[in-house]
Amino acid sequence: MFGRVLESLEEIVAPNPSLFQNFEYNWKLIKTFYMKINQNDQHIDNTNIPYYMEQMLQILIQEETQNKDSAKSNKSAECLEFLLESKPLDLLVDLAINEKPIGCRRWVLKWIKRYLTCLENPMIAHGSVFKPIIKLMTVCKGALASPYEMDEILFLEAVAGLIGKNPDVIKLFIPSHQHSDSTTKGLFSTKPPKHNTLFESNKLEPNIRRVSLMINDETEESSCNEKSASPKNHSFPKDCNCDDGDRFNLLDAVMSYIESADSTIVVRACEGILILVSLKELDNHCNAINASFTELSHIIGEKLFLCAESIPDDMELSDIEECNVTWGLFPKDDHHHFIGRYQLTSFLCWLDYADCLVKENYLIADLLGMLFREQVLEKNLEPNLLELNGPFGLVLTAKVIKQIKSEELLEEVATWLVGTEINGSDCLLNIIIENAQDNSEVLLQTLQLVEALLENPNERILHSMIFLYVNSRGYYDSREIESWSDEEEMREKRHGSAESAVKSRTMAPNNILKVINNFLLLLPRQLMAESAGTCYEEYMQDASRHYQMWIKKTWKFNWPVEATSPVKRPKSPVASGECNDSGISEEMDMKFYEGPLLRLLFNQIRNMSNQPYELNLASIAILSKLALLPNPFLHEILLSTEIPVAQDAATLFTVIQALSKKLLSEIPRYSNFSARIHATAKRLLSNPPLMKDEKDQTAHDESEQLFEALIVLEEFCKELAAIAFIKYHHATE
Amino acid sequence: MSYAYLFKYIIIGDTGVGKSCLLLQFTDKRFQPVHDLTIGVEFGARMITIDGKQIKLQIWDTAGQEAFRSITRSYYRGAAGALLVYDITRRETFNHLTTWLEDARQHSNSNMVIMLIGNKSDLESRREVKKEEGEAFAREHGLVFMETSARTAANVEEAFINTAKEIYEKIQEGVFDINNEANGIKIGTVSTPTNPSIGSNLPGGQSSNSCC
Repeated sequence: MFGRVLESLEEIVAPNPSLFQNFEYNWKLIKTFYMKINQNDQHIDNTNIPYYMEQMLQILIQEETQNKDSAKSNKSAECLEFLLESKPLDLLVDLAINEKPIGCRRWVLKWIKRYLTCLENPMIAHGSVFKPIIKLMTVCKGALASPYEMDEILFLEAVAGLIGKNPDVIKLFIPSHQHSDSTTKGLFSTKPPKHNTLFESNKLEPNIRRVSLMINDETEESSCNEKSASPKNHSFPKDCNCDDGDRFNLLDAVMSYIESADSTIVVRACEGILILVSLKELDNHCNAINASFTELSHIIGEKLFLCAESIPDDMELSDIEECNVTWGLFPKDDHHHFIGRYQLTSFLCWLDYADCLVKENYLIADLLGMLFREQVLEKNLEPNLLELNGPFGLVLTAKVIKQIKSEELLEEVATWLVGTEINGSDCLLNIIIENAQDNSEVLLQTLQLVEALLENPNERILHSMIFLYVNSRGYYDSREIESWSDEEEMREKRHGSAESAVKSRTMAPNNILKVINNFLLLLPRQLMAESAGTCYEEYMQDASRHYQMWIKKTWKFNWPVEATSPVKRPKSPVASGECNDSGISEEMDMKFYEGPLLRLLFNQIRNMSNQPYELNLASIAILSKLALLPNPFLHEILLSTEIPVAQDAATLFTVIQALSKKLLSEIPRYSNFSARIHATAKRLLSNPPLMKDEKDQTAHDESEQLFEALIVLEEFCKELAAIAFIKYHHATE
Repeated sequence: MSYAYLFKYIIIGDTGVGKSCLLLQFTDKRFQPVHDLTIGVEFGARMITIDGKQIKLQIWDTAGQEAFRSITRSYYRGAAGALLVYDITRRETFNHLTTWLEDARQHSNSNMVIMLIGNKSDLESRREVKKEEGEAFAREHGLVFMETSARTAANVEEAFINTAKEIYEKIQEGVFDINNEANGIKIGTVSTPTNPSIGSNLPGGQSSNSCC
C-alpha cells in the first residue's frame, strides 16, 4: 500500500519520460560522445554506444507495437518520425564507414539489420533510410575479407529480404532507376499505413517544423503532384536507360561473398542471391540487372568448372555413388573421409545450388544452363567418358544426372548426350552405350549411367536411346496378323459395351493370364528353386508402387497409348519418313534394330550364364524399370509374350526363352544340380545375400555363375509377371 | 554423442507464429519474448530417446516471409519431418496453411511426416482459431495436430518427439528407405559437434554417406 503511494508520488514529481523523450535522450547521449573528440580512439565495446543504440531500437519497436495495438486512438509515431527527419542513420553510417570509434561498423551493421527486420514497416522507401543503407553497402565487399564479414552479409541479406517483401523498392538499388522513370516516383509516395498516426499527426502539431514524410528531396517533391494517381506499377519501363556500367549493386555486393573462406558466409551469400533472383517483379529488360545476372551466371559456371576439374579421377567409384549432398546450412557432421571428398562435395553442392538458381529465373536458366553444358559436361565430363577414364567419367556423369532436379539443367544434359536433332542416332549417348558392348571394363558403370537416366527421365533422351528404334514396331511380324492391337480392338467392338472401357489395349490384353503364365512357367519345374524363392505376388506391391511413380514421372511425355504399326504406303520413301518418326525405313526386308540400349541389354541376358552375378542384377534392374514405363511399344517388346515376332528380331521374351533353353541343356549335367539350385537360391535370396568368398569363387567360377544365372532368371520372370499384371490392372481400372 | 538415427526436421509457417521460439524452447529450454526475424534459415539440434534408442534431431528453422520462400524450398528436400506452425491468435496464419502444405508436399519427399502446430496456446484470451478447427484441418489433410506454447513450453517437447515417433514407426514399417539419405534419415554411430560447419569453401557444410 505504502509502496503504491510512493510510486504514484514519484510519477507526479518525476513522471516517466515519454517514448520519444527517451529516444531523443539516447540519441543525444550518442552525439555527446562524439563531441568529446579524444574518446574516438576507444573501442566501441568499451563505450555505452551499443547500449544507447539498443535502447533506441527497442523504443522504435515498442512504438510500432503500441500503435498497432491501439490503432484507433490518436497515438503518434514520433520516434520513427525523428528517425526520418533528423536522419540519425546518416550519421551512424558515416561513423560506421570511418570506424569511429573502432568497432563501430559492426554495431551499425547489426543495428540496421535489426532495424530492417524487427520493424514491420521500416520505411525503406524513405530517403532517410535507403540512402544511408546504400552508403553502408559500399563498404560491404566480400573480397576484402573484413573482420565483420558475417555482419556485412547478414545486413545485405536483410536488405535483400526486405526487397523480397516490397519488390517495388528494388528500383532504389539500381542507380539509374532511382529517379529517372516516372514509375519510381510512386515509391516515395508509398501509401501511408492506414492506421499509422504518424501521417495524421502532422496537422495536429503545426508548430513543429516537419518535412513531409512522403517526399524526401526536391526532385521528388516536384513530382509529387504528377504521381498522385500513380497506379501500382511493378514493371520497369521497356526502354531501360541504364548505362553499360550500371549494375544491380545489391546483387553485386552479395555475390562478392561467395568466395569467402567461411562456409557459413558462403551459404548466406547464396541465400541472398536466391532471394534476389527469385523476385517475380524483376524485369529482364533492365540492363543493370542483366549485367549482374550475367556475371552471376559466369561466377557460378566457373565455380562448377573448377570444382569439377579438381575432383581426382582416382577416387573410389563407390564413394562417388554414395555421396549425397545438397547446398545449404548444415551442421558439421560425421564425415566419412575419403580421397576427393572435399572436391566432390564442393562440386555437388554448387551443382545443387545452380540447379536451384535456374529454377528461379529464366535469364539465369538460359545462361547458366549453357555454361553448365559447355564447362562441366563438354569440357570436363566428355573427355573423361571418351578417352581418359571411362569408369570414373561414367559414374560421375550418373551422379550429376541423379542430382539434377530442374528441367532446365536436365535439358542441357539431353542436348549434350543426344544432341538437338530429333532423330539423330549418332549421338554421344549411343556411342557410350555401344562402347560398353565390347568393353567389359565400363559395362557396369554404363548400366549405372543408363539407370540414372531412367530415374530422372527426360523425353528426348529416352527417345534417342529407345523409342527412336522401337516406335516403328519393327519387332512385330505384321505379315501374320494385321495388327495385334487392331485385333484386340475388333474383339472390343464385337463384345460391345459388355467390357469396361480400357485405357490401353496394348497394356491390358485379354490374354493377360497367358502372358503371366508364359513368364512363370518359362523354366521347367525341375530347374525351379521354388521352395526357397518367393512367389510372384510378393513382387506385386513393389511393382504397383513403382508403376505409380513412373506414371507420375512420365505423364508429361507425349507417348501414344496403343502400339500400332505405322500405316504402310509402300514404295514411297518420302512417305515412310513421314509416318515413321524413327526415320528408319520400314521396308519388309529391312532387319529390325532395337537400338544400342536394348541390344546391349538383350545380349547381357543371353550371356547371363557367363557373367558375374552383380552385372546380371544390374541388367535386369534396368530391364524391369523399362518394363514399367507406360509406353506401349516398349511394353510390347518387353512384356507381350504373345505377339508375332518378326524374323531375326528379338523381344525380351524370345531372349529369356533362349537363355532358359541354354540353362536347361547345361545345368542337368551337374550331378547334384537340384541340391545346388536350392543352395544357390538360399544363399542369394537371404537378406543380405551371401556372396561366395573369393577363394570359393575361383574354384567353381563357371558352374557357380550358371546356377546364379538360373536363380536370377527365375526371380526376373516373377518380377516381369508382376509388372505385366499391375499394368493390366491399371489399364483396366 | 552417438545416435542410432538422425532425423532431419524443418519448421515452416507464416512469419511471427513462433517457429524460432519453438526451436529455442526445444533445444535450449528457454523463451525469448523478442526474437529477431529469421533471415534465410537457422539451425538447431537435440538428442532424444525413443524406444530406448538415441535419436538425434537436426532442425532447420526457416524464415516465414514470402521473400525467403525460394530458400525454404531447398530445405524441404532431405527432411523427414516438418512442423507446420500457425498462431492461434492470428486467423490469417491459419488461413495460409493450405499454401504451406502445398509447398511442402510439392518439394519434399512423399513420406515426410507433417505435424500441425497451433502455437501461443498461452494467449487464450486472444484466441482467434479454435482448437477444433486445427483438429479438423489436421484430420482432413492427414496430419498430426497439437497446440503448443513456446512461452510456457506446454507440449513443445511432445510436438518434436511425437513427430520423431511417427518417423520411427514409419521406419519400422519399412516405408522410409533409410539407406537413401535424401529422405532425411541417417543411421549413425559417430559423435558430432552441433555447430554449423566452418572452414570449407562450400555452399554448405554437408553430410556424407551413412556409415554402416
